[in-house]
Amino acid sequence: MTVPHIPAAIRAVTARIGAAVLVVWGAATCAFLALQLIPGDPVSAIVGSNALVGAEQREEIRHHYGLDRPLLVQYGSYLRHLVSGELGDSYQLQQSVSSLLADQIGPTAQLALWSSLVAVVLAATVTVLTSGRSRWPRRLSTAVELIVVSTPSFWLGIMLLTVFSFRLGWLPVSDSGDARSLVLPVITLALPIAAVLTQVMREGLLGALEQPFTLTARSRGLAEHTVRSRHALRHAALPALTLTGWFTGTLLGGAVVVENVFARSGIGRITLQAVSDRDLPVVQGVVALSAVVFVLVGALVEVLYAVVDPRLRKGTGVAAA
Amino acid sequence: MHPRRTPRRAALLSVLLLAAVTACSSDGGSAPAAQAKPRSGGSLTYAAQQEPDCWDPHTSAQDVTAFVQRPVFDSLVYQTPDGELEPWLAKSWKTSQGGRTYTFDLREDVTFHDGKHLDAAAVKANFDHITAKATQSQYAAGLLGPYSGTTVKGKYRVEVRFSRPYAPFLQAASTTYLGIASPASLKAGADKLCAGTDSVGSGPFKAGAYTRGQKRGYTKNAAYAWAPKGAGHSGPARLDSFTVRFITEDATRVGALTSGQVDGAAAIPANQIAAVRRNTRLDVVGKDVPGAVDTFYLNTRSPLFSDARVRKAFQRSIDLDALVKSVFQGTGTRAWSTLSPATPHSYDSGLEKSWPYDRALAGRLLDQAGWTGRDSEGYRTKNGKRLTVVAPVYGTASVFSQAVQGDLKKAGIYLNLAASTDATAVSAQLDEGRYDVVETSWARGDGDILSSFFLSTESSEGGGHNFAKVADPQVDTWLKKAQGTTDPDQRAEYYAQVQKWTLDRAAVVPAYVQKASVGVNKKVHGLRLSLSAWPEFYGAWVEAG
Repeated sequence: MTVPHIPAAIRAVTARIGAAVLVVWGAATCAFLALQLIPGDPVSAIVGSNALVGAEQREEIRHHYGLDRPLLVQYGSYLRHLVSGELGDSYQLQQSVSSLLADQIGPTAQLALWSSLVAVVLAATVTVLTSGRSRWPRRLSTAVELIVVSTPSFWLGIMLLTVFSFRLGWLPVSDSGDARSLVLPVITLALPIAAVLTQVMREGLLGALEQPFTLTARSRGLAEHTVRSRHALRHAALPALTLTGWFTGTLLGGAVVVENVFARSGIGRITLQAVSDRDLPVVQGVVALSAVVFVLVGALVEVLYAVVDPRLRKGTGVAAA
Repeated sequence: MHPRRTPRRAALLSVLLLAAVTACSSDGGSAPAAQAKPRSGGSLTYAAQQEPDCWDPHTSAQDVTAFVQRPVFDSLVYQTPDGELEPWLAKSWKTSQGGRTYTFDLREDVTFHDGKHLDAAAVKANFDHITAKATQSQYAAGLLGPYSGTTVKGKYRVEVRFSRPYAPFLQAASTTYLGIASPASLKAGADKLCAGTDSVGSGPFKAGAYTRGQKRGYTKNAAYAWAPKGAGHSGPARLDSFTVRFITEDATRVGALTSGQVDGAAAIPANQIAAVRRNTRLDVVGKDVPGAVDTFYLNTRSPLFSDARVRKAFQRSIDLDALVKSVFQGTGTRAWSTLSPATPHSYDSGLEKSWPYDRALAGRLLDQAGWTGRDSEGYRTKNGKRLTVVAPVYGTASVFSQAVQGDLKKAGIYLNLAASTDATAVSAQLDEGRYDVVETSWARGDGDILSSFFLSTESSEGGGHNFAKVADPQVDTWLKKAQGTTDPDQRAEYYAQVQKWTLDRAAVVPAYVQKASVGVNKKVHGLRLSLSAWPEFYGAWVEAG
């Protein structure tokens, strides 16, 4: 039995935090184990394949990074460091992983947030515009969505660059410091997400438009676009919101491709470099970071559920269905 | 495409990673001839293909580190694009004790970017830093070979000692890896030096703002007055500033160049060179990379290749002229020696055309060796076993390797490109000698590169590259003598012997000479390529407007 005098809200929050810690711990542990399973001596990864390094120096390096200790001890110190926000030192960059990630998170966060925003706005707009009585806008949109979703973002990025940067010269190829350099990367990341969101939202919207409340709204003389955007869209928003949360988390993966194609700095760029250099502390750091991001986005999405759907709010008097 | 690895030691893996090496453009060394009068001022942007992990040349083994830090750090000695060694920070030097000791007399007018003065103590501080354990040097310390210590002999006189004669030292001293940094900056610590934010040298450019994953700026050092003679310019640099941007994606880098968003771009892919050339505003400059060319090293101790006839047959079965031509689209050069023609004072041009493709001869040799049968796929067999040549590949086999595989099939030889991404497994395979052939290259501006491939002591386990498992007292003597001789002609003589010996014994099959190719906007002048085929920004200038 729960202790009675702790308010329910605090209990709920505690449970959420507990679950969040569990998720981060699980991800970190998986990263640790997975990297142990990769065959190969980490010392070889540290010195790189091009070094002139003798056996004595190799042992020195092994000791320096604590790789000569038993696995369990290494795991323990890894978790201890993780709790204090210390992610160890990069093998290749000779810098602490936490400061490295802190330096690089800015451009990636900017990219991810703008992409999410653009995707949502674009999806909502297209959904409202294409869910009318006439069929052809919907058909056209569906076809475009399908094409966009099945286009690899690598290729999409190169195509956008070729047209808008190399040919037309409207936008710079890589980060020039101003907002213009964000346009193409954001579109590259946002388009596929918007396409999937549109499909999900249109499905929900069309369903909602057949509900009795739509008839009521129409009979009150509301304009068609108001019916769609103010009333029906809300019903379509919940599944889309869940998806958006998921996408925002995976944007970190998309950033790997986009940041390299557009020569932007950021987490994706160092992730690719770390993976190809087998820079394990950096990879572990990125995994831990993305676990935290997922947890945060998950929490945010839950809050947004309540904003979008009054039935989920406490005290509205209507029980959630 | 894989980045070129200039002097990088290249244990095994990345070397085997030669995925799709740039074999590229052709013409001479320097940018479009300067018809206009050189102009001071202005700036340019250059797109590099790779970004250094660590920016401290004393630590890093990456060739790109040497490139991006060259404008910031000067060296004791300068190597001209033709490979000659000239005074730089050291105005003169002499060797004593049979080549064991080098005494340098330094210039007295050199100041670092932090205002400190260059003296003998500063040079000693640099050598101490390179060899310090905390530096974890991956390459520079190795370049010092049998180094034993540095002594300050006067305010501007410094002595560097070795435990045995070591002639390759002067060339090593000319590389950025042994560049001289301000001693005060060396105290910043490995993390700062590696981060590229504390690079303080005496070079023509000062290190400017650096954004990881993006770009690094450089500004002119207005006090610069100690350029080496062969630099093609004197006094402060002509450019006020320049920026190196890191654009790893080929299509993006080339696009940035063709659309005029950058003024120069590294590593133009072979299939893009013609297109870049067609652009009237652009040009492609190329240069052979010096050092060991892309070569097949035949394991002379493996069960298959311990038979010299089979090695010979393998050597003469590959139609290299045709393969290099088709794979590199007419922009590559077929190699005749393990050494690149661009390697100063060591390439033996007498070997050219001396071992032409001869599949009939190869067939006779294989018949003699007992590989007379044929299996269902047309490969030769002996006692029912297919003639299989095992070639460990780290990563994926390059287009060129696959072309060789296809060509060898016609001779009844199965080249097994055993690709693996498991670094340890590949290293172990090499260490234990479980292979027949290793294909690799290693750039360096000195013929001493042969030592790491053919000295009997340079085994794979010990970190060496004697993949052919050559263990011949005569070869060892030639290589040791070359290391102990300062006379370039004499050294060339010894290296020629080694090149010929390894070809005659069919211990090697040199394949192609790697080429660097740099795309440049025609408004940029004087951007010449160094000996190791990287652009030098010191003498470069841009047209106004």
